[in-house]
Order: sequence, then structure tokens, then C-alpha cells
Amino acid sequence: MQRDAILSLLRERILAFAASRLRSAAAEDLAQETMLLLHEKYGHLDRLEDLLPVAFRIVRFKMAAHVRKRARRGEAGAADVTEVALASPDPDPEKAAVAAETREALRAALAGLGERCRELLRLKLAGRTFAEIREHFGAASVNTVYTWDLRCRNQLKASLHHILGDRP
Amino acid sequence: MTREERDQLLARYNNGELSPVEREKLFSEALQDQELFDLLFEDETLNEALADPEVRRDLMAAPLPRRAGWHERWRWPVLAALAVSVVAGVFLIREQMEPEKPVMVARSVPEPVRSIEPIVAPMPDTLSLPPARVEPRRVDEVAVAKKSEKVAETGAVVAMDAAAESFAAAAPAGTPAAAPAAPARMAMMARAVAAAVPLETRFEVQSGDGTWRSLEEHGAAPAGRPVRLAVVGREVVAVRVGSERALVRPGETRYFPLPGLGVGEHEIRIEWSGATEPDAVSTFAEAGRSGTAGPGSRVLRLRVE
Repeated sequence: MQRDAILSLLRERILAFAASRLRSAAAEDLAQETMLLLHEKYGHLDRLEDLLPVAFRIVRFKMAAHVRKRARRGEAGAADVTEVALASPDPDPEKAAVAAETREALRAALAGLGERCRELLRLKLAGRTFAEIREHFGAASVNTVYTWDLRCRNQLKASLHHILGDRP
Repeated sequence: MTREERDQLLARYNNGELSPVEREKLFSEALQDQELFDLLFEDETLNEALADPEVRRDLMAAPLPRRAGWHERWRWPVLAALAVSVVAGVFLIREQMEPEKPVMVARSVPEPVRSIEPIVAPMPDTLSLPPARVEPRRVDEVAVAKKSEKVAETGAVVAMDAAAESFAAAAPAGTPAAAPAAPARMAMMARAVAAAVPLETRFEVQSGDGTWRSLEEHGAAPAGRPVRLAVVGREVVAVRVGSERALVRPGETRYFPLPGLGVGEHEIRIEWSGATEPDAVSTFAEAGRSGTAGPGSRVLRLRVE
């Protein structure tokens, strides 16, 4: 698939996603800013496997910034995406704030997880495959473990509404 | 791509298990499927959040609750069962310790059936009485006798009298047996009559061709014709008609000729007595003592025209 075709479809998906979580005008801005950034800063990427994760990161950051900005009553205006140092390894105050907020929310969500979910996450972070996890739990099939994983992740995702916005 | 396949791919993608081909397939599908795109975005966001070193350290360092052993998993069910058993045991023990209350049951008890002992009446060996006592004393008994034989059998009446008297004498005073009911008494008298007449009689007249024919009841015999009395025995009995004597056995017929009967009404007296031996025919007194039938007599009436 050609880069232009990928970016076209990507814009369509990002716009729909953002529109379901943000206001329509903000969604348009978010999609446009993401595409602009992909074009200017990541013009060397032309494979879907590379473009999609980058696009996710940009959208994520933009959405988090939008949510935080909306929370700060009286302060409007779009963020200057050119100032977002996504490619820079240096810590960014805005990014650090989002990360801290995400960390606290995730800690709280992890504390509310059940024993099986927490153990499942630990095993995954330890690099275990699903087949090994199934064996560890003595589950009948690996599909059972997939189901458990999906439920656990949905619980954690609910805690990330400051990034993901409110689900439709 | 089915929902199950999508979830599996997402799960394996999040765990880093997808091959490059599967990864490309997932991403291509996400570009076409908005729902998958959203899910992928959310999962990617969560993965990045979980990749935070501090979160990762917290999660890995937090002590996992120990997996409960079988004894811990069964602890509460066992305790609950034990508690139920104790409560049930206490309840049963209390039930057993309480005095048992009498149970009031209505019951219908039938009247005990009194066994009525039969009254042993000493029956006489024979129901014979001297021929002198020939007059009937009771009107009802005579009526029974007339009904059965339509003649006055002195022996039967005497036998009935004797049976009734012996019965009444044997029964204790004041008991119902002392005054037997009329039907029973009637039956008893009928049996006595039958027993007292151990023979049957009929008149026969000789026809012109020499054969004998029976006279119908209350029929008249023609004058000048030989007439005889036929006696059929029911028991072994000695019979006397006039001066003729004969021993009659059961089913046997004896004929007594009646010569010299003129026109008019005649009375022929027949006497009998029980006998067992042919020799007893000669002496009625002996026959009466040895036979089973009692002595008796009848007066037969014959009209000759």
C-alpha cells in the first residue's frame, strides 16, 4: 500500500476516533495536526507497521493535551504541534505531566484489579507467552486466557480516560 | 476477520507475540475497521502506560496474594457444614430429651362378641311315649301336624310334645332357650312328625283285568272290588293292620288285603313300631325297644261306593 493511501486511511480513522471522544472541531484539528506532523517529521516512514504506531503516539499526546487544556478552564487555543518534541529524548514538562498522571491512574487501577488479573499482567511483563500463561493457570484453552486478558485490559483502559477521553 | 480472531490478534499484539505478517495484517485491518482501530489505539496507549518503569516496578514488586491451597479453599464450606451439623445435632438432642407427648388417637373399639355356648340339652334316646297319651294339647302343634300330613298322628304329636318338653326342661330358666322361637319350634315339630311316621300308605283297588291301581286321595273304592293297603317303609318298621303283621324295610312295599268292606265309610287302623329284627314282628313291645323309630298309629279312612 502506498504512503498516500495509508495516510488517507489513517486520517479517516483518526478523525473518526477523535470525533467519538472529542468535539467535532477539536477532532478535525487533532486529525489535521497529526497528519501534518507525520508529513513533516516522519516523512521517511512509508510502511504501515511504522506509521501506525507513530500516529498512535501523536494522537495520544494530542488527546491528552486537549483533555488537560479543556480541564484548565479559561485557557484555550490549540497547542503548537511543532513545539512537541516527539522525536526528542529530552524530558518534556507536558509529557512528564501526562506520564505522571497516567502512572497514578494506572497504579490506582492496578490496585483495584483482582488477583488473577494482576498475576496475568505480571506474567506478561515477565515475558511469558500466552501458552505459558495458560499452563501456569491450568486453563482449559488459550482462548480462556485471551478472554481473561481482554477483561483485565478493559479495566485498566477505563482508568486512562484522561488520555483516551470518554468512550462513546 | 471474526471477533474472536480480532481479540486473539490484539492480545498477542499486546504481548509482542505477533509475527511481522500478522502485525501487518492487524494494522491493515485496523485501517479498514474503525472499531479495531479504536481498540488498537487504546491497547497501544495502555501498553505504553504499562511500560512506564515506575509502574512496572510497582506491579512486579507488589506481593501477589498467595494462591490458596485446597485446605484454604475448602475452609469456609467445611466450616459452614460443621456449623450446620452442630445446629442440627443440638436440635435433635433437644428433641430427644423432651418427654414424648402422648398422642391422642380416637379409635373405635367394636363390642366384644360373646361366644354363645350351645345349650346341651339331654335328649332322650327315643321320642317314644306310651300310646295312651294321644290327645294333642296344643293347637299350633296340631296345625303343623295337619299341614304336613293332614291327619292326626298320635305318635307324632306325642313325639313333638316330648321333644318340646325335654327341650324346655333342659334349658335354664330365664334363658331364651327356655322359650324357643316359633319358627324353630315349628321346624322341630315338623322333623318330629317326619320321624314319627316311618312309612307311607295308600289304598289300591283291583281292576277288572286283575291289575291294581292306587286310589286318589279322598277317592272312593268301587264296591265289590278287592281292596288292599300298600305300606312303603321309610325305616325298618314292624307294621300291623288288623290282624296282619309284617316287617317293612326302607323302600319296600308291603300289601295288607282289606276283605269284606261294604259300601260306606270305613276306618282302618294301622300301627307300627321300630324294628331291627324280623323276629321282633311277633312282639311289638320288643320291636319298640330295639328299633330306631318310635311306635305310632294312624287311622285311615276309606269310602266304598
